[in-house]
Amino acid sequence: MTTQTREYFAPGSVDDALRVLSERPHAHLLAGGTDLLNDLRHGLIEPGDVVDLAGVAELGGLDEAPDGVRIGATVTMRELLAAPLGDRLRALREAADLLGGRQIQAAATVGGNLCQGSPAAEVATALLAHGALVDVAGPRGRRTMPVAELFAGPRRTTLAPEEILVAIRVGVADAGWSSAYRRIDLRRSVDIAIVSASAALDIDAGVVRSARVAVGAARPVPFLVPEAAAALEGVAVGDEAALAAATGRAAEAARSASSPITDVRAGAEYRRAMVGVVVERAVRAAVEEGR
Amino acid sequence: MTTTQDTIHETAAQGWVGRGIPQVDIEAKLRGQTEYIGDLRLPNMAHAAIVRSTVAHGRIRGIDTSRAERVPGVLAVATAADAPEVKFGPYTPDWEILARHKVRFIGDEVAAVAAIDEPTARYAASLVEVDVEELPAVFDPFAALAEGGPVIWDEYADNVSTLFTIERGDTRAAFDAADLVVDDVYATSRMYHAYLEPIGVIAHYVDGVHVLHVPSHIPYRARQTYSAALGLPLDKVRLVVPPIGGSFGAKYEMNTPLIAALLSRKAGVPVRILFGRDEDAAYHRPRPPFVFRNRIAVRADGTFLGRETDVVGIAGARTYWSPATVATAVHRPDSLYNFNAMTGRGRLVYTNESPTTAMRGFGNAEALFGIEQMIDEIAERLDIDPVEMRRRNIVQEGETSLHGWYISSSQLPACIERVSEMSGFADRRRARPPATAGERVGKLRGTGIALGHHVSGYRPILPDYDGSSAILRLGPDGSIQLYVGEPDVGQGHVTVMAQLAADELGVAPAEVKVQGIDSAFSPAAVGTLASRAATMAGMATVAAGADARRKLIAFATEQWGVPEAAVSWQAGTLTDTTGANEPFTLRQALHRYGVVNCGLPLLATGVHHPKTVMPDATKYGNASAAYPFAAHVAEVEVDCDTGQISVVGYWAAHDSGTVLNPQTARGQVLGGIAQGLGWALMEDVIMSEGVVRNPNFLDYRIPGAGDMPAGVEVEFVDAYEPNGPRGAKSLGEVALNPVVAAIANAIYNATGLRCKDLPISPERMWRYLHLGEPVESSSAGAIR
Repeated sequence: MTTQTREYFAPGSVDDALRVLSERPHAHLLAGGTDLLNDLRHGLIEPGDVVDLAGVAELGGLDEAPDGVRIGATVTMRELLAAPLGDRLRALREAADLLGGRQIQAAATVGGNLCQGSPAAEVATALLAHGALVDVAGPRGRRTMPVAELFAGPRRTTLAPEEILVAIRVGVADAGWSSAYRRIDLRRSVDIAIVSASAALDIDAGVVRSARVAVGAARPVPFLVPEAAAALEGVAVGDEAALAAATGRAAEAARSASSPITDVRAGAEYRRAMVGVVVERAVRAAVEEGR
Repeated sequence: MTTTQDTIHETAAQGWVGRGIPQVDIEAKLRGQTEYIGDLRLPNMAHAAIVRSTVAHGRIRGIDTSRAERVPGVLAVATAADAPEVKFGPYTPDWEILARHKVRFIGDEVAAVAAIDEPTARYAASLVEVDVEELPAVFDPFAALAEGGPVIWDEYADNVSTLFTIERGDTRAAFDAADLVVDDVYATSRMYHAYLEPIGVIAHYVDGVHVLHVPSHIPYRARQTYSAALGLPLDKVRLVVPPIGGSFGAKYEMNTPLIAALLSRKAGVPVRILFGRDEDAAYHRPRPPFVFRNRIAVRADGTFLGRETDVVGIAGARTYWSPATVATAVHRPDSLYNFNAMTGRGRLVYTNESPTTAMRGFGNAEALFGIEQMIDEIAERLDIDPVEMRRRNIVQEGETSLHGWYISSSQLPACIERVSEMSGFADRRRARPPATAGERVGKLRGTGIALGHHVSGYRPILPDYDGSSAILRLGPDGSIQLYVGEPDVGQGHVTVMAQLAADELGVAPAEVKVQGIDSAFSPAAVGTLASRAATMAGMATVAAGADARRKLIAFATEQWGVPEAAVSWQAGTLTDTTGANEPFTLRQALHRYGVVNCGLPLLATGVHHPKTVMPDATKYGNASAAYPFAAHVAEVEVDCDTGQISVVGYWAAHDSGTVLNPQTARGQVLGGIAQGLGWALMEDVIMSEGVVRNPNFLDYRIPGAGDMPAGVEVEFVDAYEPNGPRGAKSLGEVALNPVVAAIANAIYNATGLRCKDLPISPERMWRYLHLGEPVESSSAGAIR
């Protein structure tokens, strides 16, 4: 089918965009378009009004501020990868680098990947592990919430139809953390995750002080596994036996927390087993990075 | 090497043949200027949409097109009522332009709409009401073979579309004498051709002639099919072949061009049908899945004594090329290895699924997937080196194989030697594969070898004739046009034909314009299939070049009034060796020829009759002009935690005779390896209840750059084929044939697990590694 739209809006500010949405709450928000246009073309969503966010300056830009890193919702994967982040947000950058191919990365946005609501969304587990917050604008003003509260289920978020995701923020407290993103896929070129995981570790003097572990594509939403994090906390990363045991416990916790589905890509049994593998690999990679 | 061959190699080195020049049409392709079917526009062209069956099997009670016809912008709606009541097909008359009494698979074409644009056509198509009385459907070939199940065609009550049997020698005695008998079942998967260019056609009914613009790789045969289906004489159907964006065997569409033809006649304007990728991936005609049971009888020294094979292939609901594919799967391996005696049976079975068709490798690649693994198993059990095992049993140059196929050239022993050296096979290969689950941990590497062969044309394709013909038109303006009937499907035949003609005429390849195919002026031809185009059209081109030279010399003789022996031809220049006349360059000669003959171009023709014979009633006889060979080695790394398999090294040594163009040849081999890698590890059209569940490139995965090993090594051994142009023979299919087996043998070497079903996906491998599932084909129980 050809792509059909009813009306096209190009607001210049968040307020303008909110005004359009207040009148047309079911309008589609267009950021990179890599999901939206496909969904329209394949009839997964109804054609409707489109609000193009490209002209909204506040939604763009990636800034390092005293209180952390702010990533505008329409920052593309390539912009993210080109940003001078040094060692910071490694899991997020690894996720962005695995998302789609070069062309997709040039268009796809961080906010779009989150708001599509895919359980397999690359940036989702990374941002969970980074302890990110999201800024949301709506008719009743602005609010901020942990990224975990954004996901509601496959293709669903907790945002109201007239709300817009403005930015993602990662606190300065995360600055010294090491992190990694890993996914299990079926080929080495463009693919989406069978399952994925991100691990972020605050390693101080060789000991994991604090940890976050997130898993993707193993439940209706990407999710944090606090038990996995707890298993890692207090472990001396130089003690291979202790690290192996802790990583194994984290993997087991993640497997237990998973309730994967069987679909054309993989069976539930394989997915569940791979959750353990991918969590171990993400943790190991984060430890390596933190050394 | 003989002296003759050395002489020819020298000549080749001086000419254009043997040089890796870029494809002559590559710049236009890279710039996006090549006009494929999707780029063509005819004045007033309408767009069509097909109404497809949504049930797998049912009786059509009625079709109501009235609502569709009332949609503004609709120009015509066609149903079976608009088509002659004939059934047609390349092997079995089970094709209709549009389904008439029954629908037999989900996607079966029932009606079609032509409208002023595509959305209108699609909308109107959605309003066509098809009243179907649903019947029980069957999707499993063994269920279809069982008695009392659904019958798809009344004429074939057992659901067997084709039965192929063959017997050679005393197989029973061979098995009685055997020291070892291996008996195993292997199954291959349904594969999508995944060409760049989806199916498309423009039909234009003008002055009582159906002009069909179809990117067909078998235009002459397609024209026969289409004229028969339309109930018209051959000259009332004209086929024009635009550039083809990949085929791999798929671009001989049985009914889409005919649907467009019906609509064009009815609407009075040209009509285009152009599949999007989603429609193409959901309703294409895939590679038929096969189940093979093979028994091989061996003597303790590793000599093969006999072979029994039983093959079941899926036709889908109508019969395409699959009968020939089944025949190939049953008996072609006998010209790679000398099995000494064989008995074979192949059954092609109807199911309520999209018809399957030819794909690169054509049953042979499928058969070798099992046989090449069984040879490794035999070697292991007899404690013989797998390379030595193969060397001992291959059919050699100068031999006539079991079914009468004469191997006029084979450098396969050299291929085996070179690929072993290139890959360091003996050192790289794991001495003993892991034997227990405890040994299967971490990342395991393994190396495997497999051989492959194929044909260079196949006599039975077209009953009328084998071979090829070519026309050279040398204009008074100096232009050179070459007409052959074998289309380039993207592999570079236009370039090698230009190289061959250029050498004959003493010009550069860029000066030879190889014309697109149009049945109005191109020679009729068997087509580009069975790896035949370079060999057959190449020979015809060389013959046409020689004819042009003869005619030019005769013309100069006449013009100069000297004895013919006094006229010399060298590098495109005619010289009077008596010195009485100024020499003619080719351009001057052609100008002069035109002046003398009132504008007539010099027309030269070439006909090539290959030394092939139609196999007899027992399927005995040399069916192909020449046989190409290859030896491949793959190295894999298996991640035991995830089951993921990476091909980390790949080496290929080929005997394709003289290599006409090393660059395009290397491209063919790399493409074959990539396609085989995809088939081995990831490609699979997943069907349930007759529906394709992965009709897109996200879930039908083909390998990307990241999946190919870095630094694939390809080598062509020094070889010469007496029956091919300048010593060349085929390459297209043999490039794929060993790949899947080489990878599977490497996986066994890495893990000690023999994978007998395709694809060897991470999940499947993980199950073998972790759940202790029997590593036996899931079809083993059904065929035994």
